[in-house]
Amino acid sequence: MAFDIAIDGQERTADILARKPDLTVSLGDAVYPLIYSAHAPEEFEIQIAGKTYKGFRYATAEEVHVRLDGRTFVVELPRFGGGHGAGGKQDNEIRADMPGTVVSLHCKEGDEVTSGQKLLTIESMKLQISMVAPRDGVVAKLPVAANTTFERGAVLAALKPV
Amino acid sequence: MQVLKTKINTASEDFRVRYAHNKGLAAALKDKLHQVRHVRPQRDLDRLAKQGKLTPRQRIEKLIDPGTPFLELSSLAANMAYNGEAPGASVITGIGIVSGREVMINAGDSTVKGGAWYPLTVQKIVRCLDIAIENHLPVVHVCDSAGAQLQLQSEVFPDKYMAGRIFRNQAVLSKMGIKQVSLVMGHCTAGGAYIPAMSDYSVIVRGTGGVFLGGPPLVKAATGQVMTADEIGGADLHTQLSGTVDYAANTEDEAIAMGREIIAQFQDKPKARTRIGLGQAPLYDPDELYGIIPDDIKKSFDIREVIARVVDGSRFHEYKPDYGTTLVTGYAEIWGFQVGIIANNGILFNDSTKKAAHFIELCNQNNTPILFLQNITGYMVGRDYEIAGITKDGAKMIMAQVASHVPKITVMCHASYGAGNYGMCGRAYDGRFLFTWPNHQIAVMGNEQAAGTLVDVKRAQLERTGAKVDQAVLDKIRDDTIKAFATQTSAYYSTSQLWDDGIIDPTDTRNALGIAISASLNAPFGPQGAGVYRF
Amino acid sequence: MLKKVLIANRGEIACRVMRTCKRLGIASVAVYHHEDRNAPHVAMADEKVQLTGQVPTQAYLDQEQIVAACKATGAEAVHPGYGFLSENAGFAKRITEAGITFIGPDPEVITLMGDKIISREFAAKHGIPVAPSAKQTGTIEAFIKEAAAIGFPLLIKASAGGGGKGMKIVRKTEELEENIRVAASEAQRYFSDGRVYAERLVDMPRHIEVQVLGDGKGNVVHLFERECSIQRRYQKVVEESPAPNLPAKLRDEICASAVRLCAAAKYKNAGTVEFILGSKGEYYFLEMNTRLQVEHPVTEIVLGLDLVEEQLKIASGQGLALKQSDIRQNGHALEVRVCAERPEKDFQPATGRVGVLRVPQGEGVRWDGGIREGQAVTPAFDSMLAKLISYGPDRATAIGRLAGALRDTVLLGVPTNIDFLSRIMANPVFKDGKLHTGFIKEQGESLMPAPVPAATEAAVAVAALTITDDFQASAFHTPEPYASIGAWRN
Repeated sequence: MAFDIAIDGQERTADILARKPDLTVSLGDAVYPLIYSAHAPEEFEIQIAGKTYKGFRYATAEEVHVRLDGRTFVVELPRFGGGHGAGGKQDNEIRADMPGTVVSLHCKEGDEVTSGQKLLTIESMKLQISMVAPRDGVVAKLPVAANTTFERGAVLAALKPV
Repeated sequence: MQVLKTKINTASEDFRVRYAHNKGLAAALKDKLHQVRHVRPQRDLDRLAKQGKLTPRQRIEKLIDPGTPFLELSSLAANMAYNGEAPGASVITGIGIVSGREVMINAGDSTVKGGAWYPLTVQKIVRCLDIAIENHLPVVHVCDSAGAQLQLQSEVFPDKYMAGRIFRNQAVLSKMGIKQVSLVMGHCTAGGAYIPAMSDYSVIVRGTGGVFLGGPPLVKAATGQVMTADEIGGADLHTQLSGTVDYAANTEDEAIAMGREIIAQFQDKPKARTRIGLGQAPLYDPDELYGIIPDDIKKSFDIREVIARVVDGSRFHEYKPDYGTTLVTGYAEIWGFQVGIIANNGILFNDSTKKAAHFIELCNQNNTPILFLQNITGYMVGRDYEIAGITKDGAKMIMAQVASHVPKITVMCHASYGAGNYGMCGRAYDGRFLFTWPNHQIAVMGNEQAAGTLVDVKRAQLERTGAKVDQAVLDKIRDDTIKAFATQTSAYYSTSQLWDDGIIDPTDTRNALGIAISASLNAPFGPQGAGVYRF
Repeated sequence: MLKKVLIANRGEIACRVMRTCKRLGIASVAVYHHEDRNAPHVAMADEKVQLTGQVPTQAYLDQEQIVAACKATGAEAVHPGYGFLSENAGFAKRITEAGITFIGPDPEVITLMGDKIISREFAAKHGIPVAPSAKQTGTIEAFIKEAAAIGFPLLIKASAGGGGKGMKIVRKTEELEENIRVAASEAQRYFSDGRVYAERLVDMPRHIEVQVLGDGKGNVVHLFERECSIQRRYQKVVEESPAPNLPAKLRDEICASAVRLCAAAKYKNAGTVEFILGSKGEYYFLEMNTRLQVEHPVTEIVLGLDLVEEQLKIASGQGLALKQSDIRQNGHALEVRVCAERPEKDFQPATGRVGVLRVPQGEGVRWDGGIREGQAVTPAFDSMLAKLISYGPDRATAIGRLAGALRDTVLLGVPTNIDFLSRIMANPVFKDGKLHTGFIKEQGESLMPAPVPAATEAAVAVAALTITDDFQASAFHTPEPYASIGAWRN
């Protein structure tokens, strides 16, 4: 496997070619035997061709920021969508997993909502559950009014693209 | 340990002739491997590309850690079967490193008849899972197969070591705590559907992955419903509704990344024995092996010259060097792992046979894996040797060898004839791995001996019945036998029939063994003990 | 002297004020929104009071809560910092009525200076040069005619505005009408006041401002000038004192104008009078800021003063201790504003988390920050994270030190303009002190990042990849003999 990354928006492919005698990494067509060490997670020291590159780095959820030679580089790493709806499934309808009652609505039809925003609260089996927007969008429908019961599988909210 | 001193004169005419011969065999092997691995009709590759699929070899390259080896097994399986229409038996198996772990990879080759299962495909998969069971290797199944080759179903389906054995082995692996991950890149139909279902973890690619007992044609035939593969058993259905598959991926790359991350979660287990050396390269160039191996099956050579080009630093502690000298025994290291080597250096006599049995016991006592280097024309025959007990000595050697609790690995270096194959851990003896050199020949006896025996039997029969002995009839028997033997004794026939785990270039022996030994040490050693020795 | 001061602000300026309070033995009270609960200004204060508000900035603008906080803690005075309520006359009034000292001018002066049009008229009346202009008194149509009469180029601004919002540049008669209408509607939207005014635009102008101190009784001293010509989106990026290449005579004239204005207004507190300086030496009054400025440290360093201390002294009724003749410029100071933004994307504000923070140290370097490692940078507040200030006996030394300090600064986790600032420090035109407010646009190309050497890029790639589990495992945890065998295929 290889590592497809982008450095300040420039796409590059990095690969490990060998580990002995030195770790040898390729970036594009160029090959670099190197010595890597890190005294703390945010610090690094890399020797390439007799020159030492010492710097700092920090990983955000999306990218790694690298400080080297008085310059900050933004590196995007190869990623894959894990977790819920890993495939980026575009669900427009938010359905009930079980029967229950709508306790309150936190939005109205036509509202623009962002991913993770609470749309409504339902209660089922003595438990209140917040139904949140799975993605950014506009509330197209809120078919079940507050204090109304619904059955399993009922559509509680529907989104449409902004 | 002493460094072996070579007696090879690389400037000699003999060396030159042997080198040319064996280098030619290696080149032919390389060419054949290239053919079965990479040469496919363009339309098959186009079809794959159109579906947005990678080739199985691209998938493996992306799956394994960058810059690490891949020991492919039985690449030439089925090379002499099915008119050559199933290169590699339409499946790729081998050992590699994924997320730092040694794993077995079983990847259906969708570039061959859509990955259809031939009888030898099933045998190859079963063998790969047997290796996983014996060596405690996690398995990554890269699933993309059209299902069984229906015309050959009687050789695929019913018997003990046929398709059912695959899923049986999967259950056994899971029970043993050896993890399996399936990456469903294409269809898994009918029995094939059980591969992801029987895996501990499974990932499916949205759009191209499908898991179902009956695909669209069968569903149509059985129920009249017309549905797409995705509707019957696609990613969303299985990850959201049925729960048959655990993770959905949008692309094959994503599925591979998920698979790597899953494997990264596996706990490392300590090996039965760790490395004791640094894995220093041999002092002599392994390339010289080409000039050492004879150009004729009847010619002999000093096996120590082979050992000197396989083991670390060409260092070898020879045990009992002056006794039973037609067999070489001793300790060495390969890639840092200690091994006990048992290597033929001529016919097995009583003394060399007893020496072998004794050294096998020593290796077991010392928890040292055993490497058999086979070049055996047989145990010595004749009245004197029978009186000396050659048969019961051979029985002792087989008993000690079978009772071994340490891993055994065999390399077929040249000849493997008759009972010598048994004593030296032939295929039937549960060696963890068995590799073959391209010059290797195997048979119950030499082709000339066999032809001679058959001709003698015929002549005796004719003489008994008083019939006229027709030399032409005898010559035909002789020629047919030699021809049949020539085909069936070859390394290519052997590997086509899965009698080994692959032909290797002699110069690759050290690397192949390093991986094989490393893999074999994942399983704890079994209990010590043996049956009744005949003294 | 005051005993307890509430700082109605956050971030670096709150910390800055507290530092002086601490030094003078004055207790400090921080106010904060929940979002800022772990911010340095909260940790630094002697007491803290949480403010509530749906939107964090609203909390800091909530006058009643701040008054209540003063009462609850017994704070005698409120330092408003800059931004938020610092130039809100209503707040100054509300505070004063509650019997609390407002560290700033009287509400009337805030009102006077807060209105661009009124303050301009006031300045003109006291003989301070103002740019030829026209203000909207009647219909838009009439105003368009008057504006055209001034001559081009013209700047159209919102009467009530600031920060560049609603500003338009017009160079031709044909473009005038539409720009005025758009500016008016923007002014209405931003400031709920649709009135606009037009003034002569000075091309390639410099932004020169004068720091003043007044006691409220008509005694005013100036603390010399600052140059703030390096701007982006009408906001200052680099500030320095003294202004480079500014003839002493012209400088004195400008400073005298500032003093005249403030004396006339009976200005109390520290304040800043801003001027536009044209290439022929013509200068015009721009506006007055009746508060401490973001860039006040450059003045402090060059003069060896603590402006917050002066503010506190004036507010506590000690009057002006300084005599004009005692105030001398010594050396050169530069300040840059470190902002969470993306210079390559038109300085778009950025958010994130301060993941790694290493503050530069060294001779002649000062870091005025209000952030700590781990702190979230949200869109709730201004994008300025810190100020980096350097001092040197001369401008070149100060630039060199600032360049070194920027290079040493490590602030990762949120995009910043640090490297962009480094490139300004390295720019030869900047080094020559040939400054004007269009500098960034003019030098656009030369302020782009230089190409990266290939080996550096490789080091960056490895530094980033080694943080990931996958690369770590692949690079360093490959078991033997696999690692030694390498990429072998049989």
